Amino acid sequence: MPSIISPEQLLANRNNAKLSTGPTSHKGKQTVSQNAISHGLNQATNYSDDPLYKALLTMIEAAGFDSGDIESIAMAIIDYRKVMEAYYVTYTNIPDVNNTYNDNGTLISEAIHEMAEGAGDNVSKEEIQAMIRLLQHSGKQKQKKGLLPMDIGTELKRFIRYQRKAAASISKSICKK
Amino acid sequence: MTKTNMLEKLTTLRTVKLQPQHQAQFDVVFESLLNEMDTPSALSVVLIEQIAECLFWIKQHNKDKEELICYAMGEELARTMLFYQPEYSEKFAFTIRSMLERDDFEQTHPDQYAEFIDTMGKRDMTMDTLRAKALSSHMGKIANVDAVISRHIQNLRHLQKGLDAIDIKKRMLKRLDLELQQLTHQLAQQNDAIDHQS
Repeated sequence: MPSIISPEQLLANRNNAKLSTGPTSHKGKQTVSQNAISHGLNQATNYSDDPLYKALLTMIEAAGFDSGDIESIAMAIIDYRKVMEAYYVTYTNIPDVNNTYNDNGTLISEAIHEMAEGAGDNVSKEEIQAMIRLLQHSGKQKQKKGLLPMDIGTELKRFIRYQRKAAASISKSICKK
Repeated sequence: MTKTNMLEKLTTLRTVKLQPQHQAQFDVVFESLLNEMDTPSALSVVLIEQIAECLFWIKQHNKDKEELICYAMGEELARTMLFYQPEYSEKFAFTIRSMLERDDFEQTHPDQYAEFIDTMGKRDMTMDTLRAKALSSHMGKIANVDAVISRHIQNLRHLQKGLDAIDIKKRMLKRLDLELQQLTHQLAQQNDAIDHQS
């Protein structure tokens, strides 16, 4: 579909975008700080560095495959392992339900009091109440979202496309004529 | 060969490394698959291990799905209470899970059981209606787990296809070896005959 804005408008938009300095709010900054953190499955793999690679080359050669196919099979297996390892790490990092809701308001307010006393700070009642309100708000957000272990499928679903590609490339490279 | 011996010999070939609580479960699946093969090649073992991993995940995610339904039921019941407390979701989920797993829950945890039955009675609910309600309200999340399980089944098919191809190749190589051996033998016999005639 062709652009419906004029070239002048497009240029103005681009110039205005250059003035952007990124997110300004604390929440926005926190969000973008997570941008670089990922499973790393989109990064290029250096196969020769993988200790499994050489072993696989020997195994595949011994199984009677052509020299042209040996490397592609080994690479496919390494890629598959990479996906499955990231999958396992994600699975094991999903917190247990017992750790999900432990932010009891009373306990937290007592803890804040103790900390403030220990540090010799004068914390007002209002400040503590504000803190509790904030925590209660986060509790409501959690309630909307549901118990964390329920997100297991959502967390793992993003690996489906990587698994599809990796598993298919194993069978393709082995069954190649 | 005993289990420990067999798996110890394969240590150098192992590609799937899991945490101890999962490793034992995985090893059982892996070993049973290995027992079905006569003399697998090293590459076949690697593929069998990946297949075992798929089976392990299918089992694991089925358990997860069942647990998810229990949590959903707990949450659904807790939502009917006047003051919603997330802790109640957990408590009910634990009760439901324990009741489904153990028959003696009523005797071992009488207070929790009584509280649960009382809450269910007040809301005019049965386990079936609660389960149906939980399933319908958490359909999306359950569908996600189903999608993940079905992906593992497809992965398994791909790997199985690869394993079959290796097996056929192995059989073909064996056949070629035998044919070559036969031809060499025939040639040797012919040479002997020629020598004898001359």
